[in-house]
Parts: sequence; C-alpha cells; structure tokens
Amino acid sequence: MRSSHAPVIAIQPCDPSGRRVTAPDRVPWFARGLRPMALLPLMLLGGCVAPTHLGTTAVTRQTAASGAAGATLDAAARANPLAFLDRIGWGADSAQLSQLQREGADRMLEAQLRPDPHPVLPPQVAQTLATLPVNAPPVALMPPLIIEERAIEMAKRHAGNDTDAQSMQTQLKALFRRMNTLTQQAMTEQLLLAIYSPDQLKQRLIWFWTNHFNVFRSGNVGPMMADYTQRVIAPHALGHFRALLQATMFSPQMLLYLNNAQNAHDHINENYAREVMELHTVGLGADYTQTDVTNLAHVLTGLGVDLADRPIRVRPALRNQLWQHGLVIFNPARHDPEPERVMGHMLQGRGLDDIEHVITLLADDPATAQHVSFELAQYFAGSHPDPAMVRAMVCSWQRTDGDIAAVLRTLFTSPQFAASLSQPQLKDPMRYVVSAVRASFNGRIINNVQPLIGMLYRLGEPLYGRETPDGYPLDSGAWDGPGQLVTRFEVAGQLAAGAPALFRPAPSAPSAGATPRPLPPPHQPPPELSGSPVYLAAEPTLSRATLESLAQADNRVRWNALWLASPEFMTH
Amino acid sequence: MMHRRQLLKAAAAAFALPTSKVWAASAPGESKFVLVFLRGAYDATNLLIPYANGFYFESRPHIAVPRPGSGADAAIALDADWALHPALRASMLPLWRAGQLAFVPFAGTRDMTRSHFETQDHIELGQGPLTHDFNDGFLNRLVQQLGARARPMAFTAELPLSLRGAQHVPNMAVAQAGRGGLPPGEEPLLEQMWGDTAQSASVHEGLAVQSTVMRDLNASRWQAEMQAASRGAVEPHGFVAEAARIGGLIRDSFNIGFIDVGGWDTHVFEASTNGAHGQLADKLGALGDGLAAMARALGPAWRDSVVVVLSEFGRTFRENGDRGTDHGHGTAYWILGGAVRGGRMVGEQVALSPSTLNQNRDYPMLCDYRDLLGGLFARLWGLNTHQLRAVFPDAKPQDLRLV
Repeated sequence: MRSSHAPVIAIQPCDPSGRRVTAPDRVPWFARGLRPMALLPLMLLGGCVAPTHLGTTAVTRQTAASGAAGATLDAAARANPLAFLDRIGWGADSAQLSQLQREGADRMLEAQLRPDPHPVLPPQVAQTLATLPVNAPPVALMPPLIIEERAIEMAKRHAGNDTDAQSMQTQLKALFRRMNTLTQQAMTEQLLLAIYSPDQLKQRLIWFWTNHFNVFRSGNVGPMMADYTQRVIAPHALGHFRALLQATMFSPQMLLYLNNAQNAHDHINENYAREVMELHTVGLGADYTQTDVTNLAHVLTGLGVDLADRPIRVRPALRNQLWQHGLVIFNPARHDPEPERVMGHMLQGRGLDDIEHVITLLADDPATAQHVSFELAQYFAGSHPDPAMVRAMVCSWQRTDGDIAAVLRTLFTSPQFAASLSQPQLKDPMRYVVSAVRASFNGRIINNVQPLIGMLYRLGEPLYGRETPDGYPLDSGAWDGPGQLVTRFEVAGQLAAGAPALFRPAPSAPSAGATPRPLPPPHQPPPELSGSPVYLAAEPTLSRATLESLAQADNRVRWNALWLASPEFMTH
Repeated sequence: MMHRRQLLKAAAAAFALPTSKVWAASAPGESKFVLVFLRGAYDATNLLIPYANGFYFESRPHIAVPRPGSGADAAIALDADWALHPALRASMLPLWRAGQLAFVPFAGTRDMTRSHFETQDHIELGQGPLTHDFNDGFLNRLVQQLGARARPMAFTAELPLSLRGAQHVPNMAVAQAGRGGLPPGEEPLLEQMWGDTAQSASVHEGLAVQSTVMRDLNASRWQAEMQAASRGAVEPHGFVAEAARIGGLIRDSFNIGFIDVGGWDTHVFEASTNGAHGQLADKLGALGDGLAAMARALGPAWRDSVVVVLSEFGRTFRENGDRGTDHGHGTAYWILGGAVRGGRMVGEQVALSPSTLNQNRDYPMLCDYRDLLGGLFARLWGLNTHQLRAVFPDAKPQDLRLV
C-alpha cells in the first residue's frame, strides 16, 4: 500500500537567486510543463510572504512572529504534553515530561534542533553499543566477509564430491548467519538510541531520512546498515539537504541497492537515476522525462562499489580520474564521458565533476524543497499538512540553502503545528512500539530488542525491511486498516504483560557465545502503568470512553493492555 | 475534498453494519473475484515467450527462454506465436489445457511514467484522468455497487489503495493470523474506547474479521484440506501455504479478495544460465504453485471463481547489461478460474518488431485494464452501464467473453 504523493504544485520562488527575496507583487509563474495527469492535484500556491526589504525590518518581523508562535506552542505543548513529545521525539518518558514542565516547549525544541553531538546515554546502553562489532567501518567490515564468501563459492563449484559440496554449503550458511547477526546489531543500535538517546528529534530524523533514502537489508546491504544510519545519514540529519543527498549517493548501500554499482557506459542501468529524481529530490510530476532519466544514468556511470576492496587497475590515461573512498569507487573506465543534457542543463562530460554538478542541480531545484518539505510536514505535523505551513518551510529552505534544522524550526513554531497537537494522528508502528517502551519501562534498561524487532515485523514496518525504494508511507491512513489495528492490540497485550523477553540477555551479546548463558534475571511483575508519569500526564486529556474502559479492567495486565491500546496512546 | 476523518465518520455511520456481512456463508453458485497484484512489474516477456519471432532471441541473448522443443528446459508452445515459461508446466499448463486459463498479452494502463508507485496507484485508484483521490479505490467502488452482495477482504498486512474508500473493507495478513490473540472479554472494552474516533469502523471490522478467520482456521477439517491441497507433496511453504489458506477462506466467507506478491523488479540477474532458470523462474514457479493450491482449496467454488493476475507494467523487450530488464509499458494479464473461457490468448495482438514496440523499448498497451475488468465485472455480476461507470468513470467496458 502506498500513501499519497505530495501534491504537485506550481512553485513560486520566494527567492530566485537562492538568497534574496523578490518583490511580492511579481506575477506568479507556473513551474514548467506538467503532464496532464500530474496536474490533477494541482494547488496554486502564492509565493512566500516575504518582507519587502531585507535587513533589520525583516529580522524584527521574523523575531516577533516566531515569538508569538512560541507562546502558542508552549501553551499547546503544556496542554497536551504527550502529543508534543510524540512529535519532537519518539514519545514521552518521565525525564522529558519534567524537562518540558521546567523549561517550556521553546527551549526544549531549540535544544533538540541543536543537539549535543555526543549525547549522554545510560551507561548500560553506552556499553552495549560500544561492543557491537557492526560499528566497524564498512571498509574493515565487509572485505573479509566478501572474500570468504567468494572462496567458499569457488570451493563449492570445484568440490569433488557431494560431501565436500555439502560442507561448503554448511560454511556458507554459517557465514550468512554471521552477516545476519550484523544486521540485527544495526537494528539493536537504532532501537536503543531511539529509546534512550536524549537527542530524540535527531533520532526521529535518522529514521525519517533512512526511510526517504530507503535501502533494503537483503544481500550485502544488511551488515552495512549501522554505517548507513549512523555515519551516512546521522551527521546530516539536521544539516544541509545537499550534503545528505551527496552522502547517500556516495554510499555503498545506495549504490548496491539501486544498482548504480552495475551502471556502466556499455550497459546502462537507470534504476538509481530514476529514483533519485522521483523519490529523493524533485519528485514525480516535476519537469523531467524518460530522456532525463536515461541521460542522468549516463552521467552516473562508473560510480560504484568494490566490496572486496581490491586495487583498481585502469589505463594510465585515465588514472588521474580514478577516485576511491572506502568501498566507493569512481571508475573512469566504466564511465561514459559524452556530454549529456539533464533537466535542461548541459553537463560537459567531466566525470566526477558532473556528478557533483548534478547533486547541486537536484538539491537546489525548487521542486526538491517543495517535495521534501511536504514529506517532513507529513511526518511531524500530520498526514494533510496545511499548505501555508509547507509554503513557509519552502521559504526557509530557500533562505537557508536547504538547512534542515531551519526548515524544521519553521514547521514547529508555526501556529498550524501548535494547532495540530490537538488533532490526533495514528502513529506508525515504529513510533507506536518505541513510544510504548519509553512510556512503560521507566528506568529499567532493556537488554534484548529482539521482541521489538518482531513486533515491528508483525505490524508491517520492520527496520530496513521495505523492499521498494519509496520507503514506508508517511500518511497515517496507511496504518489504520482493521487487521493492522487488531495486530496492534495484540502487541499492546504483549507489552502490558511486561514482555519479560526484553530483559533477558540479548542473543547476539558477546557473552552469549562460548561461555554458558547467564541465568535470566529474576521474574519481575508487570509494570504498574496506572501510576506511571506518562499516564498521569495524559490522564486529564483522556476521553470519557477511555476512562470508563480502563475502570473496567480487573487486573494490572489488562489495565496496561487497554491503556497501551487506547486511542489516546496510539495517536499523535 | 472531504477530509479522511470526516469520510471515515460518514462511512462508519452509513456502513458500520452488524457483522452479518462477514459471517454470512457463501451462497452456492455466486461469483467470486480475486485480484492478484504482482508489485514490481514482472517480466511478462519471459512468461509468455513470443517464440515464433527471431527478434525475441536477438533481444535477449542471455536471458531468453529456450525455444519449444529444444530440450528439457524449453518453453512450452501454447499456440503458433506464444509459449509458456517451463516453471509453470506442473501448475498452470493443466489449467490452460482444461480451458481454465487465458492470457491478455498486451494489457495495461495509459500511464507512461514507468514509475512503479505512480502506476500502481493509478491502477488501484482507477479514477481516470480527472481525479486523484487516495481514499477511493476501484475495488471499493465495486463493493459499493454490489451492496449487500459483496463480502470483500484484503489478504494483506496493509489495506491496499484499491480497497480504500467509503465502504469499510477488512484486511488481514493470513500468514500471520492466529499468532497470539486478545484476552477474552477485551473486545467490547476496545470497541468502547475507539467508539468515537476516526478508526471506530476499522476497529469494529477488525475484531469481527479476526473471529471469522480464527473460526475458519480452527475448523477441524482445515488440516485435512491442507494436506489434500498439497497432494501429499512436501509441506507447502511461503506463498503456496498462504494461497491455500486464502482459497479456503474465500470459499467459506468472502467473494472479493485481494492479494499482492512483491519482488518482481528484476533489473539484475533475472536469469542464470538462461531464462528458464534463476530468479524470475523461481518466482513464477512459486506463484503458479500458489495459484494452483488456491484453486484446489476453493474446491467446488472454483467453478464460479475468476482470478486476475496483473502487474503495474511490463519490462524492456531487450535485456540490459546485467542479465536483467528495466521498466517497460504493456504487460500480460492472467485470467484463471473454473468459469473462464480459457486456453486462448485474449485481446488485440501485434507482431513484435522495433517499429511495433512502444518507443522501440517495450510492449504497447492494446487492452486497457479498466475496459477489461469493467467487462468482466459486468459478466460476473450483471452490472449495468451506470454501475460500471461508477466503478471506472471513463472506461469503455469491453466484453472479452472471459467467462
């Protein structure tokens, strides 16, 4: 199932030069020739409401405006603390609730937009993460695995008899299990950070961008997922969009997943070229054609991956064009040096320079600002974001050269966002599961995230499990089918009973190998959520129907299950 | 446009009927329709091989399926022009020979974006060029037209776009059904809590369907049927097992079903030694086995059932540099069922050459899916022009005499 695309709109630049602001009375222009089908959801938007003069007047007005919005936000957040914390992070816990009470929404938001690059984690979590082998850089992690795999495959082909072939098969299976363990470690890391890291907004963005630039865990991508989320995506999650686009384009995960690793001058593969335009940047309905896709594919030829990290040999004449960084390679011998026209721009056939040029071209296109701002607004403010709010975000994007933190500041301080806190939206499964854990196991650190991985799978949103490049839908309507809701109720029941498996030693923990498994921790009673800070903060906002249902629960587990299955907990 | 929330409220008011719709048993002789959506655009050119045409073999030096009669892994001639992929010999060839399977070799949509997502959405919405409402799928409109006759179900983890809309349609991923239920007595409390929300109809339907499915799956005859459906072969797994369970559920409780199968986007290594082996061959084999298992599980209801297998578009006629194929246009639809007038190719055809390919790249589309399905729905349920127009606003339903 897919959610709706961002509506295709005609974009009026607030700022055609990229920095300055135009006079507001300019006649709106309509972006390019849209195909008839793409015209359907056309919404005519006015240009950015921009001050007539740059300089102090503009600054004063802006400050005044954001101050007013700030008051609204703080009031809305205090009236509905769970909704606010559900939006700017993975859901309320007791620490964030008291922080909100102490500091107010504006200070809290500002801190989330400029997080400490080295956030303090609970010691047990920090220690677990520090020991995960998956955190080795791919250039150290992957070549030994790949070389081993190729050696076993080779031996298998040349096996003299069935017994040898069988033994090779067994070795291969063991290798794949090890690779799968690495993928599981990447999931563990992402889940533990989502649950426990204080930079909650950044963690939400890591999920969002990983989904926007989706790759699928199969094959050799899985073991590199920790690198993808923590080193390709995370450093730019609140940075500039152009840098993020570049980081994903030059990542082994994306190059493998969308087949640009196979794209060469004599056999063009246009998979990545198409999706980078359709999904990552300008979006479907922007002004590009099949010819642009094919031409872009030619520009991107030669950008690939060598997982075995071997030295590349090329003719001496091409040697100075060869570029290699980690496992990513630009191989001039595989590149098509012909000049190409992409979306009206002529690229001169200068290899890697052309690729850099294309990144700028796509990142700076006004359609990209529109497409990505709309998605951010859907993810943080609700499925049907107010067009005026999105327009303001696009303006911030253009004023700040695609600074994601600035665009988000505009979103979160808009009056529409404050108003949206009282308009419930069903959480997607990842938000549901993580927020339930944050709300339920106050202070008790979980050892084993396997049950959570399983819940996400059952609920239809497993980590790194979206096979298609579009990522999971951002429209909350994609998650409210009858079967999906019933499965959620079942998951609520599991968590309500205390999900004891969460507190057993993790199967992939380093100690669980040669040494005997440590004894499971002593049995703990299910948590008493009716006295939890998160429930108490929510209580004044609960509907009568919810309060009456809760009152009918005849034991603690049933009470917990109903609370976690209540509309108030499942939404925002 | 109405907001989703309002729509659902309206839907809840109008359609939150008692569960009778779900619980009603199948009436003998009533038509059943199942849509199987192959997401990712399967390579129709290697399902139905245009073997009489040298252009096919020239265009696919590494991934062509060998000519009929050339060996154990050769394609199986269906008529003078087309041959079937050998992975379907055991599952689909018998249906073709029994006249219960037809193909429409140049079917599809007018959408030329070659985007999976855009085209899948376009198909599932089926609204024509003038509207683009994501809460108004064509199967939902069909359900609305059938009124009390319809008992729809999506056998998917997410409700597909085609079944979204004013009528509330249940969904459930059968592969996961029966894993951990709700404690007894919890349903009424859940319904009470969700009673005044946008999701109330969905919660109601979900709880009702869950008990129907659990009842059907727990019925004692189920195990025996599973064994019969697998004909004593190895335990069915994956799609085969799922399709057999779905067949049983449709037989007992539903008459409009939706299934999707992903993973057809074969840009790389579609085939290994040749087109008869490798990724696509394995997937086609499993799909065929699943469809055959579903047909057997439907039992006597197979006589009145029609299954349509479709995909968003076809793939490039020529192989790419990676033993794969890229996004194309026209594709082949499968129509199978006890009542299908099969054993034949249906719809307009064209001899394949560089000049008859669409943009010298892929198959042309000669049969619009809305015309095809509209005509089929008219046959199955006797819908009139007015009703068909409600399902597919701008289609010209074509009576291809499929049943």
